Amino acid sequence: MSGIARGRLAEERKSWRKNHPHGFVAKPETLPDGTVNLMVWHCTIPGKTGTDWEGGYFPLTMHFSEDYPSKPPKCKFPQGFFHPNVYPSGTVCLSILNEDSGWRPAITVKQILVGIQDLLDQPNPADPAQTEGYHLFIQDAAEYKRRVRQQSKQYPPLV
Amino acid sequence: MAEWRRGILEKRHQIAMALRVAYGGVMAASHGGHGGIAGWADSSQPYPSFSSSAARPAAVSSATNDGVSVGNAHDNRRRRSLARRQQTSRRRTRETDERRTRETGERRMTHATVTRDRRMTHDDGSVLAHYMLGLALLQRQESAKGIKELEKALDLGRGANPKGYMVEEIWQELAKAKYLEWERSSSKRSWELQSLKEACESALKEKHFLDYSQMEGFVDDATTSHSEQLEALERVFNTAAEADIPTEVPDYLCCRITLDIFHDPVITPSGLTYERAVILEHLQKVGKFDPITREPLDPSQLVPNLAIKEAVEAFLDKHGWAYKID
Repeated sequence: MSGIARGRLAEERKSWRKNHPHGFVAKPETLPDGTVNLMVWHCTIPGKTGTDWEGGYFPLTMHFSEDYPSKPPKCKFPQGFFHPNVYPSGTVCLSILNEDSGWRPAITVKQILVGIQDLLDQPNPADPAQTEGYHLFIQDAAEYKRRVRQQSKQYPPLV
Repeated sequence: MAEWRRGILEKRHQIAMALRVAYGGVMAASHGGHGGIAGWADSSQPYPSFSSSAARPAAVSSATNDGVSVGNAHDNRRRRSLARRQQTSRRRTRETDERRTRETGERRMTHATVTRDRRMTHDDGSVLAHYMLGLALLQRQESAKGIKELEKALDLGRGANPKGYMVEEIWQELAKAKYLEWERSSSKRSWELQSLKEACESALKEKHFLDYSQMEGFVDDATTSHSEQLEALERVFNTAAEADIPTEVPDYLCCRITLDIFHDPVITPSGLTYERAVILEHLQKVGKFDPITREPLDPSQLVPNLAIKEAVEAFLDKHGWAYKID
């Protein structure tokens, strides 16, 4: 399915260049020899305005398999990222990224990134992925907010 | 001088032929190609190219000058120029051989590219024939005929194996050819439009100038109507040029998996349309379900969506820029 995956990713890239949401970044990885690897994209998700995540520009890597778009990409924040639905490894746990539930081949890179931005401020306590983030979100809202603001400062915009 | 030289060459040739018969080609084997007497007898070289004087048979050595006394210095000069000639000749031969090998390799590779992974059924030969003929015609700048052949190849290929690599390869070539054809006709059209626009503008200016000289008291009215006419003209020509301005392919003409314009659309029982090769691959590799509705789906349930196919063809006929492959 590699041909299909690469063709689809080329279309995604073209579509993103034409029009993408403000503040977001998504570009395929450039290898040391200058060639572009369409199967890995480096992205940036801005924290939503008016939330504790505002001001943060969070790096995310999308890994596409040869079976994309029949299978969803694996989306990873940096290791140890603080959020109830992000595994300690950084992998995002989101229904639309789950092959057995919400994933559809028609879902675009743009929709995934906007979906993850929504998830940042609206965690899903029914599907926890890390102990610390989950416990603070459930038991200590003030400390949770403080940690989120602190993390947002750790990821300032890249000039 | 020339006769003397010709005489020597003839004698050498005779000796070489005699030796060839006597040695039975042994020399050719031991010295290889131009290196031995047998090789020299067949070659266009004026002199035999022995690798060393030790390898030179006595008969040839004694007959070399054939009674003509030549000074040592002259002899050395001749030997040096002979060695140079031999080197050049060997280098040329080696380069020719390398080039031939390279060209043969390229031909083999081209053929391999076309015939690799052959999964076509009974139509395989004709698909390949139409495809190769189409490419050849395009190479000869006969684009209309070439496109026709590629279209035939594509239809046959889709019938035989819709998700074969070759169908995709044919489509790529066809799209490239059609895009180039559109580019040519588009630039011709825009040039014609531009010429016509300029002619209309100059005619309007002339008319305005005549009106201006006749209407003394109504200068403002004339100027207003002239600028309005120019604006209207601009609008008309912009509208005429719109079809050739690349925009975006409408979503309803694009597959929801590839996000690309449909080539061979099929519809599922759930009413969704997909690219045939892609949905077949999904059903084979991922699972027998509709990728969007996740309802059970079997390849036998896929039906060609002729309405969408016609809509795509109509769109591409009108907007050739959509053939562009990045």
